Formats: sequence, structure tokens, C-alpha cells
Amino acid sequence: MMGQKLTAGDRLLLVLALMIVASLYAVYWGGSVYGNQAVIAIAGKHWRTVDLYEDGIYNVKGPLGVSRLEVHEGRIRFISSPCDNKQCIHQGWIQQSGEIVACVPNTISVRILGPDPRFDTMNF
Amino acid sequence: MASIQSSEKDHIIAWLAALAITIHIIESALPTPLPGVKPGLANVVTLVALLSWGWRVAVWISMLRVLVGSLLIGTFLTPTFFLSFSGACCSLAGLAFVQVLSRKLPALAAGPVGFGVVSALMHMVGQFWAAYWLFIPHKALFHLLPVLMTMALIFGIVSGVIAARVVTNLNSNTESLSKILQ
Repeated sequence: MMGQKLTAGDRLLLVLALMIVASLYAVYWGGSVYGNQAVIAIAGKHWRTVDLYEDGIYNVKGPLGVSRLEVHEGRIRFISSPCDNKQCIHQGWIQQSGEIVACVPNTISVRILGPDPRFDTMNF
Repeated sequence: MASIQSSEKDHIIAWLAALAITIHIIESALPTPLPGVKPGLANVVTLVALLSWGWRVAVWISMLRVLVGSLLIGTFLTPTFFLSFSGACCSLAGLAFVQVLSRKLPALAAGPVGFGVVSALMHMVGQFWAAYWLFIPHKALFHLLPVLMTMALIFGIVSGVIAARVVTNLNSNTESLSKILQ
């Protein structure tokens, strides 16, 4: 026995709360997995595996010159690269397992490692 | 000898805080399947205080519970303390918000269950925020959030229902209550 009925405000708050909780499942259990490490490769060959929770800048030397990669709080991005179109820089941060960012002209690629990659392949 | 005058409200705060601290300590001894998941029955006392005596009394009881509870368990200034402190602060902010809204829109005024749900969810948000920013700043922690919030929602409804019953009984026993408080 409840002793007291639910007010209209209670019902509204309950509906809102249910919606918030349901959307949390959608957002955080929607298949995305944040990675811990990223693999940096030059011309398809493994160069280094970096920890995404150790902030830092990596200078990676490719055929065209040095590309700079930044790791910050679980994410990684290109901050400079000697290519023409700067696609790699425009892609910005990547952080989910299986995500890839690459500077094709300089043959440098970065892939986030994870137990269950979100993407099988990526096309640009 | 000078003595400090205590009002009836002070007595209410002392009694309810003592009750909340007791429940808080008993609950802290219960084993939990997940860190951060607790029935939060001590929150019933805060809800009753809010519904019967207003927000300020609820703040006093909530803060005394966190402070004295942690001193008695021995977790004062440890991570556990900061988790429950930030949880309590967020919960009280949520309660204040709902109370202000209830006054502005009487047609949509919240009852005990509404307050209970908001309080429990906000408590979890505060606790989670503290856990993330102060202790484990790893995004994988967010995978726990849906489960934690579901538990908070369930326990919020339960504590709201209990608080509703307590308030009804308090109202029908006002005389014996004021005797206790004298």
C-alpha cells in the first residue's frame, strides 16, 4: 500500500527519469568501446604502440617528413603533417576501438586497439 | 552559567540526523555487488525531513549524516567520503530545484516519489562525477553509468514510497511526536 497516490508531478518526473536512464543505455552501451592503446604504423609496418592515457606528442618520420601526433586523455590526433590536403589533421581526435586516422601521402596510420573493434573497415 | 538555547527545530534535526547516521552505518556494512550501489535508505530520512520541515532541515540532516557517518565508520576524507559528499550535495541541489518548480507550478507539484527519484538519481550523478574526475578518469567508467542509474532509479522509487508512508504516519501522530521532541 502506498498510502498516497502519485501526483502529476511524480508521473512527469518518473517518465523523465526513465527516458534519461534509457538514453544512457543507448549512449554508453551503443557499441562504442573506448580504447586504451593505439598502434602507429609507417608504410603499413608497425612503428609503435602508444598508451592513450599517457599524454604526449609523437614525431613520426614518414617518406615526406615528420608528422606530429598528439595523445591527450584517451584520444589521439594528427597536429601537423607534411601532406598537401591535411585530411589527417581535419579528421581530428579518434578514441573508439577500431577507429583509424591516417596520413596517406606520408604513409602514417593510427589505429585504436580494443577487444571488440567497432568498425571492420573504413572508407573515405 | 550560560547555556545555548535550542529550538524545537534543532531537536528535530538532531533526532533525524541520528536516525539517518544509524541507517547510513548499517548500510555501509552491507555487502554490495557493485561499488557505488547502495539502497540509500538513509535518504528516506532526508526526504521525510524535506517533506515535513523543509529544505534547510533536509540539508542539515544530509550533511550531518555524511560528516558524522564518515567519522564513525572511519572514512572521513577518504575517497568514500568524497563520493558520498558530492552525492549528497547534488542530491540536495536536485531536491531544491524540484521544490522550487513545485512551488512555481502547483499543478505539477512533486510528491514523495518524485522527490525520491530526483534525489537518488542526482546522488548517483554526483557520486559518479566525483569518481570520474577525482579517482578514475577513464572513459570506460561510463559503461557502468546506465546500470548505476537504473539501480538509483529503483531505489529512489522505493525510498520515495517509504518516505510517503512515514510522512502520513507522522502527520497522524503529531502529538506523540512533539512529546518525544520536548
